[in-house]
Order: sequence, then C-alpha cells, then structure tokens
Amino acid sequence: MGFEGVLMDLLREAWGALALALALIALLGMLAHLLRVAGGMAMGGARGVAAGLAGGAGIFAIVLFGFLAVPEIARAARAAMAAPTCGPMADLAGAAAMLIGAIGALRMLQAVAEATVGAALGGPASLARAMWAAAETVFGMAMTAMVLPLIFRFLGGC
Amino acid sequence: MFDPVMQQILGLARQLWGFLAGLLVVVAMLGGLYYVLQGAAGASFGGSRMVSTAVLGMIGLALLVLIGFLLLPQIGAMLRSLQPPPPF
Repeated sequence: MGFEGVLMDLLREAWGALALALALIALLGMLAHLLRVAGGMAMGGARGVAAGLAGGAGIFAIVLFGFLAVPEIARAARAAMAAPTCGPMADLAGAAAMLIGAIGALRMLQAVAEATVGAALGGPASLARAMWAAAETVFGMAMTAMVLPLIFRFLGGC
Repeated sequence: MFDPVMQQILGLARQLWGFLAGLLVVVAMLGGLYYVLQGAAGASFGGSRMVSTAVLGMIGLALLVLIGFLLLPQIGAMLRSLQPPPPF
C-alpha cells in the first residue's frame, strides 16, 4: 500500500469516528432540548417550550443533512471532476484531487458537527460553514484537475 | 487509530445520557408536583381553569418523559443506521 493508500485509510477512519461523534452529539443535544422543554413546561414558560422544540428539530435536520447530503455532495464533486489525462503527471494529479476530495468531505462533516454542537448548546443552527466547506472542496478539486495538467504542459512535462 | 478515543467518548456520552435522563425524571417529577399543587389549589377554591391547566400540564410532562425514554433511543438507533460510509 502506497503513501496515498495509508492516508486514505486514515481519512476513512476519521470519517467513521466523526460520523459516530456527530450521532452522539445530536442525540445528547436532543435530550438536552427535551429537558429544556420539560423545564419550560414545569415552570409554565411557553417560550422555553417553543425554543426547546425548535432546537431539537433543528438538530435533527442538521444531522440529516450531514448524513444524507454531505456524502452525496462529496460523491458528486468527485464524479464531476474532470479526469486529468496529461502524461505521467496524470496519476499525481488524480491522487491529489482524490485526497483533496477526501479532506473536503471530512471538513464538511466537521462543519456539520460544529453546527450540531452549536445547536445543542442552544445557539443558532447554521449550516453556512458546511456549505462554505463544500464550495472550497469543489473549487480545490476543480483547480487540481484542471490547473495541474496546464502547469505540467507549460513546464514541458506532457 | 481513533478507536481508543471513540471508546472514551462513548463512555462519557453514556454517563452524560444517564445524567440527563435522571435530570429529566427529576424535572418532570418536580413539575408534576407543582401541577398537583396548582390543581389542588384550583379545586379547593373552585378554579376550574387552574385544574384543567394542571391536568393538561401533567399529561404534557408525562408525554415528554415518554418521548425522551421511548422516542429518543429509537431516533438514536435510526441515526446509527443512517451513519454513512466514507464517500471516498
């Protein structure tokens, strides 16, 4: 197994750990929001009840996004990437694009996990960072797939 | 590589789950007691609205505890089954 394979295995393990942590955070966050709802009901505060219910639903929606949409975005970005077909550097460019895609997918999941933590702690449930990470991933993969062959061609490698 | 860390995190999460579940029971019991007091007060001086509010509040609290103890574990199992394999 080459260096690239070792790195990919490490990234796959990190993905599994991050997904498990995300599920744990979401479940505990929903329980915390349920506790908030119970506290609001016990003290007769309708605002606390509404905020708790909305927070629980928000956490659920964020986790669904992380588990269903993020892998699809990562797969789509990888599938849409142009295959670098430039001589001996094609393998290098392909491996670099794959690594960027894997790191980008992890970054998206990390951003979703951060959003889940924020929502579990009662903050606003924002997926903006996850979207930003997705855009950076697609941009990085496109740059790797398109610009590297051009550079190699310019340097006379192709 | 991540397994030992995840085992530690799982242990902590289990402890936190137990703590939050216990806290939920305590809050629900105190809230139920409050609603019993409210209902008793309403019944003793003829406040039917207070009694109905107290009964509805107690039912709501019981429902919330049921959601916490029955629905949330099911949602957790669903999330575990939804956990995606690495897309790369």
